[in-house]
Amino acid sequence: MVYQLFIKLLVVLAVLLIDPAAAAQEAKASPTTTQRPQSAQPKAPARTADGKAEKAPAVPAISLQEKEQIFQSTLDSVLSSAFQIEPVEYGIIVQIEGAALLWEKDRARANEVLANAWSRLQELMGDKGNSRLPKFGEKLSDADRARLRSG
Amino acid sequence: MSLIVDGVAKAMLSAKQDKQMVANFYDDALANLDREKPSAYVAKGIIAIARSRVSEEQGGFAAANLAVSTLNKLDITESFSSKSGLAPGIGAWINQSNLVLLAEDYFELTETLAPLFRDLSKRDLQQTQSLASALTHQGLRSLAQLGLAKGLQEELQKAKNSAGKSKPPATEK
Repeated sequence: MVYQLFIKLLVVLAVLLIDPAAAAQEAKASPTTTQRPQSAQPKAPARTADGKAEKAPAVPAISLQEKEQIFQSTLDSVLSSAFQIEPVEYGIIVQIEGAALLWEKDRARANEVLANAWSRLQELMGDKGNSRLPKFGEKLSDADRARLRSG
Repeated sequence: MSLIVDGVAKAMLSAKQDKQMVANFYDDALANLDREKPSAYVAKGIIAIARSRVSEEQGGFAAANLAVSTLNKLDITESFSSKSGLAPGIGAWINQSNLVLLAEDYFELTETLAPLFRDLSKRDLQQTQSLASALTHQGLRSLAQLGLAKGLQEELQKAKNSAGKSKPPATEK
């Protein structure tokens, strides 16, 4: 699982480093099949016995500004408490996902969060007593390789 | 089992079967899952069905509600890495392309929960917010909230793009 986290971190970094404009262009080019045309939206509201239109279901409309605020506050609160999450792996995943969301708005902070996730991941790999594992970036020694082969 | 149910339901839909019949089929599957002893597998199954039902008026939220209550009954304190049946270091070197063999990874809770909340947030933000905050495990709650934030980000981006498109070109004097 630790390796999966490591790979996820690398994948997120790779995706984030790709020009977001290119991704947007790609999204524009490929028509979305899931998007329903406006005409497919709920039709005319039901009518009461006296012929008056019933009120629409109570889903209050939220302005874009409010949505922006909710987005920011949700992201901030999740990222500020990510270090408390147990098991640690969940915390790291939360940091990676949070950094991916933050990337477009605040790259410096996203980098900070990713760096923190990276150091926690390294710590985790050390903590698991994996003295058998090589350190990050180091190649396997022949002895380690032979030991892994023998199981 | 949820994979099979989902596959059959989608086949029913593509065969132009009555939508109500498909909804009943999903309801039966959820009722069966609800009777099971709560486990990560059961939760993943419910989440899979909930994702397929997001487009329904209330079916998606009802299934998501059940998923949250199942997740709240789980004890998620054990570290992931201690669960691996493989010797340390081996996992990364083994590549399994078969999704049936990889079912656990494929349906890893962390991978499926956020997309569910992303989809739900586009239907009803407030209900999704309260559903996310009902999760008692902090990690899962955070992932659900991030999924919700992702949904909001996508909507904001969409609004931004459409505003950019509808802007009339500047007239030359």
